[in-house]
Amino acid sequence: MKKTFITKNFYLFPFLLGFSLFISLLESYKYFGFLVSHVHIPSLTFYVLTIFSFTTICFSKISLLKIRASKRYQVFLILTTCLFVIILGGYLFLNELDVIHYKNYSFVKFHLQAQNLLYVLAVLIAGPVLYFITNIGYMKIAKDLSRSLKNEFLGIYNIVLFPDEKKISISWTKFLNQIKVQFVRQNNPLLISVLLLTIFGSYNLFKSSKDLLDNDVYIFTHLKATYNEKMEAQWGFLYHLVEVILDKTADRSIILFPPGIAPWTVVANIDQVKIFMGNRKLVSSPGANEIIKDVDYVIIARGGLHVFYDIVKSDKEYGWPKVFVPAKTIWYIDKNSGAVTEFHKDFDPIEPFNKNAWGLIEVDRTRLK
Amino acid sequence: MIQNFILQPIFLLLITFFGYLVVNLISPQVKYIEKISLSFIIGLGLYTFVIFISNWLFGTPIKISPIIAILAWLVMTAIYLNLCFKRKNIFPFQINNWSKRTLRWTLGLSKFEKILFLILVFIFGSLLLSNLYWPIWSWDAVALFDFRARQILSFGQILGSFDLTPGSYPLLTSLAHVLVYIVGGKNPQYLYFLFLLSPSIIFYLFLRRFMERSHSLISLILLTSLPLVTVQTQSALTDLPQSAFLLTGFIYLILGLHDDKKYYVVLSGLLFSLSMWARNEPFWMLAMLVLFIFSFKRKWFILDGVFLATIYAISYPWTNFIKTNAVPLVYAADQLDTHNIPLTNPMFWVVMPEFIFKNIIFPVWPFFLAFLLLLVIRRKNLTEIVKLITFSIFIILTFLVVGTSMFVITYPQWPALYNSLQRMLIFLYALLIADTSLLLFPTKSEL
Repeated sequence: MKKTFITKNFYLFPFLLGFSLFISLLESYKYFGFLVSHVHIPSLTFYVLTIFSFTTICFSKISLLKIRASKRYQVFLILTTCLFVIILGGYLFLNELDVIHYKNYSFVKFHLQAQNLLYVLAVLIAGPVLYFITNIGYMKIAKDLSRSLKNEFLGIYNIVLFPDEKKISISWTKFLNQIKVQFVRQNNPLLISVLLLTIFGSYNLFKSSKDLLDNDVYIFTHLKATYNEKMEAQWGFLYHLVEVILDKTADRSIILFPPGIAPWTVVANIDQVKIFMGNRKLVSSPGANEIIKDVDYVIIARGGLHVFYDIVKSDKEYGWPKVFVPAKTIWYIDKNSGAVTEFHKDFDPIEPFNKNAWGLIEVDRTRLK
Repeated sequence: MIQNFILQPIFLLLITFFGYLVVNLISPQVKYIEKISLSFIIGLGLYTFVIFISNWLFGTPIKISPIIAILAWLVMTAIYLNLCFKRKNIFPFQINNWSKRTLRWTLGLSKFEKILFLILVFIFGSLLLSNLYWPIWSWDAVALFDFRARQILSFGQILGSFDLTPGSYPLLTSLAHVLVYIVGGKNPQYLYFLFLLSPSIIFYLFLRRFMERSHSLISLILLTSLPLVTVQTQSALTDLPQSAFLLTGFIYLILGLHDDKKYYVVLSGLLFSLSMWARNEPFWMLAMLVLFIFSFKRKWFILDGVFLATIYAISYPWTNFIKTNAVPLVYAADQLDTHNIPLTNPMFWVVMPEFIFKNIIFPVWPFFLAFLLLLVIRRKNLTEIVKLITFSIFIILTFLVVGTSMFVITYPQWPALYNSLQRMLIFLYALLIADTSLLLFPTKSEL
C-alpha cells in the first residue's frame, strides 16, 4: 500500500505542480480569491496538496532515485527551474518599476502586482529543489535528514507514549499499529493528551507562521513605504480620513466628530486620532441629532467601521450628520479608492447620497444659528 | 542619523549593562546567560522608574542631558556596589568565550533540533523584522502609551503633560518610548521584541534544567507560536512587558523554592515589583501567597519581608503619585447603565463560569485538557517542580475566578474586559505549557 501511494504520488506530483502553477498565475493576473468566488474551492487547497506531494517525494528514497533515472522527469524539472528563474527576474523587475515610478505602476501597466508573483515562485521552487537534490550529489543529505527526522520524531513519541517498552523499532507501520492498539482498544488518556498537544500546537504554529510569512512578504514588497502608507495599511480607511482632515483643515480649528455610539464608535474615538491632529481641537457630538454650533469643520461619517461594535438594527441609523449644515465646501471621500472630490454646497442629510457618504464639511459659520 | 545609528545602540547597551549589574549584585550565582537575558528588562524597568522618581520628587527634566546623567550615575553606583560586595564578572565582555559556546551549542544540535531551532529563528526573525518595520500602530498604544510618551517628550515633565486618572497605567512603556525618541530613534516598537526574547530565553533555560534539549525547544515553540504571543509582540501594549516580568518572576520564585536558594526569590521579588511598574495589577499577591506557604516550613520570614518590601518600594510611589495628582473620572449617565450582577442573582452562577471558560480556558482549551489528563495520569509520581508549578497555576486560576466574580458583581462594564483579560494571561499560558511539558516529557533523571 505504501509503495502504491509513493508510485502514484511520483506521477501525480508534476500534474499537481502544473495545476497549482496555473492557479497561482491566474489569481495573480485576476485577483486573489478568484477560484473560491467562481468554483467555491480555495486555491490554498491545491497549494497544500502540492506541498504535501512534494514533501512526500523529498522523503522517499524510491521516488528520488526514480526521478534521477527518468529523463522526462529531469526535463520537467529543468523547465520548472528555468521558469522559476524567469519569474524571479520578473518579480524583481516589477518591484523595481514600482520603486522607480510609483506604487502600483506595474499593476496599471501590465495588470500584474509584484507581490502576487511570490505565490507563483513559492509553487515553482519545488522544481529547482528537486533538481538540486537528485542531481548535485545531495541525495545523501536528503536521505540522512529523512532518517534523522523519522528517528527523532518517532523517538520522542515512543518515549512519551510507550515508556515501559525498552526496545522500540523505529518504523512508521509499527508505530501506527501501536497507536491504534492504544487508542482503540485501551483508550489511553496519555495518547489523547499527546494528540491534543500535537494538533493544537501544530495548528498554532501553522496559523502564526502563515500570519508572520504574510507579514514578511508585505514588508519585502513594500520596503520603501512611508509612515503614512504603513499606517494606512494597518488602520485602513480611518487613517486616510485622518490624512484628509489634516490636509483640508486649518491649524487651531475646531472639528466636530460624530457621537461615540454605534455605528460611529471607531470614527468617533477622538483619543485615537488626536495624536496626529496637532493644535486642532476635536469635539465629539453629544448626540446623533444635536444641532451643530461653534465649530469650523464637521466630519461626514456613514459609520460601521467596526464589525462588532458598530452594528445597528436598521440601515437608517447610518449616516452623520443627521441635521442640515450650512457649508462653504464639502470634500467627499470615496471609501474604496480614497479619491477626494470637492463641492461647494450645503450639507443636507435628506439627500440619499449623504446617508452613505464619508468626508468633511467646512462650516459656513456666518449662517450657523 | 548619527544619533539613530550610534547613540541608540550605545544607550540600549548601557541600559542592558545596568540591568546586568543589578542582577549580578543581587543574584551573583545566576548563570551568565540568564543574567544577560534578564538584563534588558530589569535595566529598562529600573531606569524608567528612577527617571519617574527623579522627575516627580526633584523636578529633573526629561531631556537628553539629565537622562544620560541619570544613566551614568546608575551604572557607576551599580559598579561601585558590585565592587563593595566583591562580585565577580562585573563586566560581561567575555564575548570570545560566549561566541565559542554559542557556536558549540549550535553545532552540537542534532538534525531534528536544528529544524526546531530554525522554526524558532523564523518566528523570532519575523517578529523582529515586523517590529523594526511597522511604527506604533495598535489603537490603544497610539492613543494612550505612545501619546503619553510624545507629550512627556515635548513638555519634558510628567506632571501636566497628560490627563491622570485614578486608573492610569504606570509609565514603564511610555518612558521607554521617550528614551528611544530622546536619543534620536523614531520607532520604539522593537522594544517589545526584546520583551519577548528575554522571557523566552529564561523559559527555555528553565525547562532545560529538567528536560532534554529537543523537548525544551518544542515547549518554547509551543509558547512562541501561540497567536496571542505573536500578536502581542507586534502591538505596543503593556500586557507583554507585564507578562515578561510575571513569567520570569514565577520561574525564579519556583526555582528558589525548588532549589532552596534565597537569591532566586530576591530576584523574583524584583521582577514581580517591576510587573507592577508595567501594569498596576495585584498578581504579586499570588507570588506572595505561594512564597508564604512554601517558605513557612523553611522559616524564610525575613525573605518574605524583603520580597514584600521590594514590591512596595516600586508600586507605592506610583500609587501615591496617582492619589495626589489624578482627577477623578466622571462617568456619563449612559456609561453608568450597569450590567453588574449581584451574587444573589441566580444568573451570576451562569454568567461568571461562562465568562471564565470563554475567555481564560477556551483560547487554549486543548492545553488545559491535556494538562489535566496528564496530571491525573502522573498523579502518583509528580516531581517537586511539577508540584510547585501546578500549585502556582491553581492559585492563579483561583485568583482569576475570585477577581472575575468581583468584577461581575461591582464593575458596570465587566463584559468589555474579556480582551484585556486574555492579553494579560500570557504568563499563565506559559506556566501551563511548562508544566504540561514537564509532565509529558521524561525528565533528565528519568532518562
